[in-house]
Order: sequence, then structure tokens, then C-alpha cells
Amino acid sequence: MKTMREADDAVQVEGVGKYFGGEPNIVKALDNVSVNIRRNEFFTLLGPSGCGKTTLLRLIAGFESPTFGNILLDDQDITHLPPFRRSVNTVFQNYALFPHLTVAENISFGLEMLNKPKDEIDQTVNEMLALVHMEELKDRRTDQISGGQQQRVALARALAPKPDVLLLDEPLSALDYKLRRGMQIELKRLQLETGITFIFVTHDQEEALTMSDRIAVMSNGHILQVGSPDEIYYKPTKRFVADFIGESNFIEAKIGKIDKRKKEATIRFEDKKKSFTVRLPENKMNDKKTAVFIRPEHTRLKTTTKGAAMTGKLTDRIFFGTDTNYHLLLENGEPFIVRSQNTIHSSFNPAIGDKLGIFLEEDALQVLED
Amino acid sequence: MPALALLIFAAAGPLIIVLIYSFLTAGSYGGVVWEFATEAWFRVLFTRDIFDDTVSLSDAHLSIFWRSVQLSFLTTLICLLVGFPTAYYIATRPPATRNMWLFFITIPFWTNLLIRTFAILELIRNKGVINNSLIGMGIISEPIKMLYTDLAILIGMTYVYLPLMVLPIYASMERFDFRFVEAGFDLYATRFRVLRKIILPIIKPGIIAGSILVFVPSLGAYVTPRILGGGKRMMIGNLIELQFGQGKNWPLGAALAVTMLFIVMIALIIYVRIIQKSEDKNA
Repeated sequence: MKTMREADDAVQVEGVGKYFGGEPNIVKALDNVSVNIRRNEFFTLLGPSGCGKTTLLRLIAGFESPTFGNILLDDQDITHLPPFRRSVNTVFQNYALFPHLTVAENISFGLEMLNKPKDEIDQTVNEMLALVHMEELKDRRTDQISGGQQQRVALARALAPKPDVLLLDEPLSALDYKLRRGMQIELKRLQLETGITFIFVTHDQEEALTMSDRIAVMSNGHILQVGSPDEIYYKPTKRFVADFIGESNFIEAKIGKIDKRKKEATIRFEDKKKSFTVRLPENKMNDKKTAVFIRPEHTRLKTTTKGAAMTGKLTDRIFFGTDTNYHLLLENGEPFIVRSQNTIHSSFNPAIGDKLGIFLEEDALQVLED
Repeated sequence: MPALALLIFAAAGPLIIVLIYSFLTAGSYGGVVWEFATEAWFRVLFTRDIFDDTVSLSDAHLSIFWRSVQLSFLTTLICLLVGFPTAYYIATRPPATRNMWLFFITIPFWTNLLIRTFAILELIRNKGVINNSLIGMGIISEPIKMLYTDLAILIGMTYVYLPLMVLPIYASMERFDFRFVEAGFDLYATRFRVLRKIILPIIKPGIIAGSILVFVPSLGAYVTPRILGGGKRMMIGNLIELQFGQGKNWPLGAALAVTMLFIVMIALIIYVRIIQKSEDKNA
């Protein structure tokens, strides 16, 4: 499946598959994946372990060849080119800093391999050291610096040859929370400053949301949805995407009147009187009931059940500092989460076991394709 | 502290005895006479003509020294050229089969040195396996003379010491993280440059260990040159043995032994210097 080519695409992945092993134990790490990554964008591959995100990154880097499909860099077919012929550099998850070279030597390695003149190499290395704030440690051996410092050296080493595309394979996963936060801001800043296309791999959805221009959510060797953090969060097209990012509620609703022209339907929960109008996808036009998706922060709890969409029994309260999650059990046995921002003067203080009314924002209700 | 003293005593003790003996006089029927003499040291390098007392360099001894250094060096080199790819091959096999390969490499070790050396003899002698098959296949009509040459000693020592080169290099390679190779490719290094600039420097300790483990024992080899050299092609080890046996000149044997120690030390120093120089060059 070819996607439309745009003039400002840095990387085009066209119908790529990567299979390991043979029948009957074939492993389809990637199965017919296509995506276009634009120039100068911060693009993230997001998904759980084993979804194929690292495999896709490695195919773009050139460490492996796809079983089928093509990969283009700046409209050039690089599918079978070795890594040293691609203007692409990688920040490895474990950094892979050369232990027998100093910090400065690691950074200059790519430039030396490209046979750049010595003064150009020296100048670039100094620039890179300044960029990642490692000037003082330039002559240290790489096993004598901390994890966070190693990470910055790995970054400088990959940026020094000024590649067209920078690949980052879960580079922050080994750092503690505070360091990680700091590096996320650093990386974003670097990407904006250098203008290099970043392709970032992570399983941390929060990281993906805060840093990316666009995200590709992956599962089981497929790309499920590509979009901006906003789009992915507020308009997921598949259940997996809705579930993987943020928190979600899926509840059974009965479909009432269907308006095929407007592509809408009225739905109702738990035989309650309160009804809602939602968009209905094509494949559900003839259904009688469907699962409906809504995020916990778009719902509200009240002690009264009059006019509520559903009623639930409170089973748990979880305090997050800024918000509180209320875990409820609906009448039909399904779980439901309501998330409310905490205010200082709140009179709302239900006890575990209380029956409460759940109120929903109609615009936030979505019926997904699957 | 007592352990250290024991270690020093055990290591240095015999050395000191040998050193002392080298400064004594040879007894008529072997053994030593406790009279100070430097004759032994003189005889290491020089001979006195029995007729007119002129002093000249001992060709016999010098050729033996030279043969020993040459053969040990060549043995080390060949073991390196054969052992390095072997270790690389084993280290890149799936983990499950690696032990099997290591087992194969070390099987010769399970056999007695004498038997191993005789096995080589059987292979290379005029009516041995190699010559018989070549004649039988009509490739040659006369047997190739391999036994009782320097080549025979070289073959024998290489066969005997090869595992000692493979194992340390393998140990280094096994610990080598192949992601460094990927990082090298990523940073525009071709295969050859990855080998030279990344793989070799990192597994250097293994190569050094392997080289020392082959060079030092082969320098003092005794059994292999005896059996495969036919007694006519002597190495230092044989020369030393001669002095303590038929030669009836223990002090000379002792002096030769200390000389061999010096040769080993000098070789090691040169080797380490070369390594350091190449390290400074690559830095």
C-alpha cells in the first residue's frame, strides 16, 4: 500500500514487512507497514514491547533488511543500503559508547570515518560538547561518567556527522524520573535548534505526548494510527489506541434511532432515560448495541442519580495530587473511572460503597470502528 | 604475609639456585664443584678453539638461539592468524553450540603431549599419512621431506599451542558487545574499519594473553623439537637438557636457562612497547 508522497517527506516507509524464522514458527515483527515522516518533525513510534517499533527503527537505520517493501530517504531508495551509506545516525538504548575511546574521540568517530579534515572535526566536536554541556569531560573515558552523561555523549556522537535523520531507540529508559524529564526538554530543544528529523521510539505514552509533533501507535507489527498528540488522544480510531494512551472507559450502550444520512445515532446506557447523540462508524450502521468510549476526565460524579447517564457504586478512590480517580462498578458489572480535578473547598466526599450518578460530556463520547 | 613469603620463596628460590649454579664450575662427571667461575657464561656465546685458544662466537649456540626465537615467533604468528578467525567463528555461533566447538578445540589437550607430537610425526613422515595419500592420488611421485626439518617443529608447536591462543581470544570476543559493531556501521565505518578501529582494540587483551601463552612456552619447547627435529635441530630447551645430561656441564645449562629467561623478558618488553606505541597512535 503506497501512501501519497509529499514534497517534504524525509523518510517514506512503503509496505514494509519483516519476518523472522520460518513456517510454522514464523514471527511477523512488522506486517505491511507504511508511514511517511516529514522533514524537521519530531516523530515518535509508540507501542508496547514487541509491537515492532524497534524493528522498524532498525530497518530505517539499515542494521537489517526488510523481508519485503521499500524504505526511501529523501526520495532515494535506501532499502538495501548498509548503515554506513545512509545519512542516518542512531542513539542506542544502551548508548554503545566505545569503551576504548574518550568522550571526545567517541564524538569525533563518525566524522573521522567520513574522512573530514582535522580542523573541521575539532570544531564540530567542540560544538557538540557545548551543545550537550559536556565540555569539561571531553577527555574522560566513557566508563568513568554517569548514565545521564553517557546519554548526552551518545547524542552528541550521533549528531556530530549532521545526519538527515536521527533515530533514538528508547534513549531515556535507563534514566531516573527527574533526569528523564530534563532530557525530554533537552531533546525537544535540540530537535528544534538543529532542525534534524527525529524518529523517537518509546513505550511511554506520556513521553510521546509531550515531545512529539506526530505519533504512530503500533501493536503487533502494525501501525494502528498516525496523528498529532491531540488527534491520537481525543480522536483515537481504534480501541487499542484509546486504551494505550491515557485512561479510557468502554461501556456497552443500546443503539436507538439511527440517522444514516447524518451518520449519527442515539444511544442510551443501562436502560436509563438519558440519551446521547454520537457519530456512528459505517460498520456499525446495522447494530443494536455497541461499546462506547469516553475518557475519565470528561465525566462527572454527583451524589444524585437524577438525570445521570448511569449509576455506579464507588469501589476505590485514588489520589493523584492534582486529580482524583474514582473507581466505580456499574449496575451491569462493568468497571468505570471518573477523574476529577481536586479543589481545596470540595464538599464532595463520597464513601466506598455509595451509589453515585455518573454524568457524561456528550461531545466526548465516541464509537470506535473496533 | 606468610602466603606472600611462600610465593616469593617458591618462585624465586629455584631461580636463585639456577643463577648460583651458573657461576660455579662443572664437575667431571656432572654436578657442580663449588668454585666460582664465569666459564659457563663465557661458553654461552663464545667458544675457544681447542688448538690455538682463539676466541670466536659460538656458531652452534647462536644458531640454536636464532632458531628458537624464529620458530617461537613464527608459531605465535601462525597461531594468531589461525586462532583469531577460529575464535571469532566460535564466538558468533549460537550460544548453544559454542560449548561444543570449544570442546573440539580443547580435545587435543586431553591427550598427552608425547602422543600429540607422535601423531604429527605420523602425519608428516616420508611414509606417513600425508605423503602416502599424495603419492596414492598420483599428485607426487617422491615423498616430500617434512620430518626432521624446522618446518616439522613449526607444525608440531602450532598444533600443540593453538588452543592456548584460541581460548583467551575467544574469552575476549565472547564478552565483546556486538552492538559496538552496529554503532560503528551507523557512524560510517566500513567492515574493515570496524575490525581495525573497534573490534581489535577492544579484544586486544585477549590477543596479548594468547600471544604470551604461545610464545613463552614455545621458546622453551623441548619434547616437540626433540621428536620432530630428530635431535639434530635443537632449540634452547634441548641445548639446556644436553648440558645436564651428556654434556656434563651443569653450570652451562644453568647459564643457558638464565639466558633464555632474558630472551623471554626482552621479547615481552618489545611486545608490550609495540602494543603501547600502536595504542598511542590510535588515540
